[in-house]
Amino acid sequence: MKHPHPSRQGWPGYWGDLALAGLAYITSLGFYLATLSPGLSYLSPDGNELIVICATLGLAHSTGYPLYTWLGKLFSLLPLGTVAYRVNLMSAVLGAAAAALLYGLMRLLTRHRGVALFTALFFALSRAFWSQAVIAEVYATNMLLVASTLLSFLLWAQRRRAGDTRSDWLLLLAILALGLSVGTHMSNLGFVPAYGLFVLLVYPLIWRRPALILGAALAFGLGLLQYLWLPLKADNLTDALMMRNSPTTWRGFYNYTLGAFPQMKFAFSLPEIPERIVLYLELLRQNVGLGGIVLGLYGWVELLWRRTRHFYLLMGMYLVHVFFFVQYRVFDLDVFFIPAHFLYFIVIGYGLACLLDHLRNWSGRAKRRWLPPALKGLLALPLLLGALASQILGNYGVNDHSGDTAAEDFYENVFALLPPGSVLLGQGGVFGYDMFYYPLVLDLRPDVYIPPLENPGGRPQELQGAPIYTTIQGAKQRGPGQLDPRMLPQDAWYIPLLLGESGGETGGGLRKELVLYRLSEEPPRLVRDEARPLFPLGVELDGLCLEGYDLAQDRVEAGGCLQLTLYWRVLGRPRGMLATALGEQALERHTLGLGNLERYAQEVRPPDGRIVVEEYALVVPSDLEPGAYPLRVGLVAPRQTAEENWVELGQVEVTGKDG
Amino acid sequence: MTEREAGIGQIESAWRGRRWWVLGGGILLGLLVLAAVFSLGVYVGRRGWDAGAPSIARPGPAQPPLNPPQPIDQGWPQQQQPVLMGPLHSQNRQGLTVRTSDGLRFVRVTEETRFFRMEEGTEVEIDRQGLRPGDGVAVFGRPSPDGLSLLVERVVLLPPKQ
Repeated sequence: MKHPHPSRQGWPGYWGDLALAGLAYITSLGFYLATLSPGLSYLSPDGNELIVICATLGLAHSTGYPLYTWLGKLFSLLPLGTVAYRVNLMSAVLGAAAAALLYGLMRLLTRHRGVALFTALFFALSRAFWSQAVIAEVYATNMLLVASTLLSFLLWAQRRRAGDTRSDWLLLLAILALGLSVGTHMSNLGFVPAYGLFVLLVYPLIWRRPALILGAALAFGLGLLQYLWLPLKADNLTDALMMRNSPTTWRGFYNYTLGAFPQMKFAFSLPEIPERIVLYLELLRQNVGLGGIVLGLYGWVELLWRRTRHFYLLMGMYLVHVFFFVQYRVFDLDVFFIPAHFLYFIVIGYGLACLLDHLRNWSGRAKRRWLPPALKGLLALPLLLGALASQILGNYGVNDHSGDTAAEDFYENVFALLPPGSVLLGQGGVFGYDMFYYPLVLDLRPDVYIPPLENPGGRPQELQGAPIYTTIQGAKQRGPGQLDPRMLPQDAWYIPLLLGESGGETGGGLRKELVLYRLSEEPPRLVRDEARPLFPLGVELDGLCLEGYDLAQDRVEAGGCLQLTLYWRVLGRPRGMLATALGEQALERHTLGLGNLERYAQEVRPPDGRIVVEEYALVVPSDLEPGAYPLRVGLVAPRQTAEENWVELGQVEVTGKDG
Repeated sequence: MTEREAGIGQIESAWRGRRWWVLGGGILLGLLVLAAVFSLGVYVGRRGWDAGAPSIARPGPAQPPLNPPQPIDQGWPQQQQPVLMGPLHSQNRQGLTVRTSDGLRFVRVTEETRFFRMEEGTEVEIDRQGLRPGDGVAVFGRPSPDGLSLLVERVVLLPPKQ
């Protein structure tokens, strides 16, 4: 019986392969660029920190990510867009390169160019990987390093098995890449046993080559030398949690790297594990589909049968990763499985190649030699194109962050609004880098004092006399990076001045409230006896009457802000939240009185029959096309848009950035 | 020896060398499938066939800023949920200020407002002077007709946390 062997044809050496790898690269990059986040965002908990750390060559949170930092610095120097955009761009460029290398990997494992191209694109357009290729995060870059390492090992194995004794430089290259990849994600260390076993299976007599073993150890050590960056840059840390484990001592170094986040590791008891495995299976399904899971299982079986060494390599890598991260307690778990998904995509491609080989052999035995191309064309191609189309249709909308300008629009207005010499408070540590970006990277407003930038938690005594503004409320401080509670007293009045975009589609990100408050001991003049709006209206909106409004200007630059005052008479109990929009573009949502009315009614005066005055500035998204838009105010249900009641105010002309 | 026989011989020779590896891999794959099927069975057994796919507990989608307080569920019957709960910040003649997750909340007390202490699962009426700053309290009441103030019916002093 003749077994189909998908790898008999060598690789590389074909211009066609280079062209197809280039096609995988260009196609992936095209999708990534079309959906790339334009700047700062809250799509990842660490993205804004990584942008600033790359641009300033600082030290990222545990486990440090030195190689990522250096690569990010190179990208931050590109003469394209903003610094934040450039670091986002790195994920797109290097993520697409990972897809191109996957083409090479599949070409090496199978003889099918079509399958290799399909697998590369199927992976590139999968949900989790795509999501990381459009923001500043380590995962896309990490996959380039993982793919480089794996490809080098496979190339070495192929040449060594073919008797090429001069190919050991490829082994050293693979091990160097492995060492370097620890600087994009430390979990790559988990692959070491699988690589070690693979080397022994391919070249059992390696123990007779002490020079090669020494060279391998040196290559790995050379890759790890990047971690000297940690003690060198430890002084730059601003996060209290990270400073507690400052990598300036051996103990601190261990805690910052291998010993980081102990509370997240192996965080589930045995009875909880089955549900975690189901969660993993669900995440796998989201990325490869049910058909992909089945085809992958078949691929594992074929790989075991035909390429046992490769089976143990890929299965070893896969098991270690899944075993570790199934028990990892973190809310953005899906991205940690990307390397495991990558391995699963490889076996999907392998299973597909074997299926096609079986099909060809069957049609060959049937002496219908005209069938193979016809069958492939009729059956395989539409199926494969359908699978790719399904990835695109299912994942494009979810991963399209090209219009996510909320964070930068908000902070640009914040720094424009703050008076000279003021204090700006906000979350500190890793999650405060949306704010730190402006002074650290753009060198904007050095006169504004940002306490958590200099000291985690801040120093309350340094705030004396200065006007204080904040983007968080004392009672709402959560998690790491909290300020000293004396800086954000809970009994102070938090008077909203500027409201950033909220309530719109964000792709399920981690966006926090984008509100600039002025801290005051005195309450705002929220309730007044009568309304004197510049534009009287008298429109009822389910429990409220909009008596009128003031609009400071009818022309605004995209990315600028509109100063709006609304005069509400309370007739009953309003159901829902107040919202504003420019045309169809939602701007923000808030409760009547901008969060202060309940306390105001209790402590100052109730609004019974009087006028509630809301006075604030609205951020206009910078990606709004220039044109005239009706400014609309509505009463909407907090979580749905079915019951909406809108009233149109005046027209506002939005101009381009240049006016 | 024909070419076909030579091919078979090569395959058999290669197979003898790696059959234990293949066998081990097969067992590994079988165990993996078994673990997946067992986990799915446990999941369905615990949650039923109607349960949706599990999801990661993310911090959630974009929250509208300045959102209103949500009802609190701390084990009281559905019809008797407290409208506010938290440590007592301060009190004066007009009412109490309670520190909640949404900030300080002032509630106005009237002559009709009654005060209780939780004692072994039951509520025992106490005097208002029994309240001290820092005590955990649950406030029961209903919004005023305009929806902007709270008419307090009873305040329950919670047992100290262990």
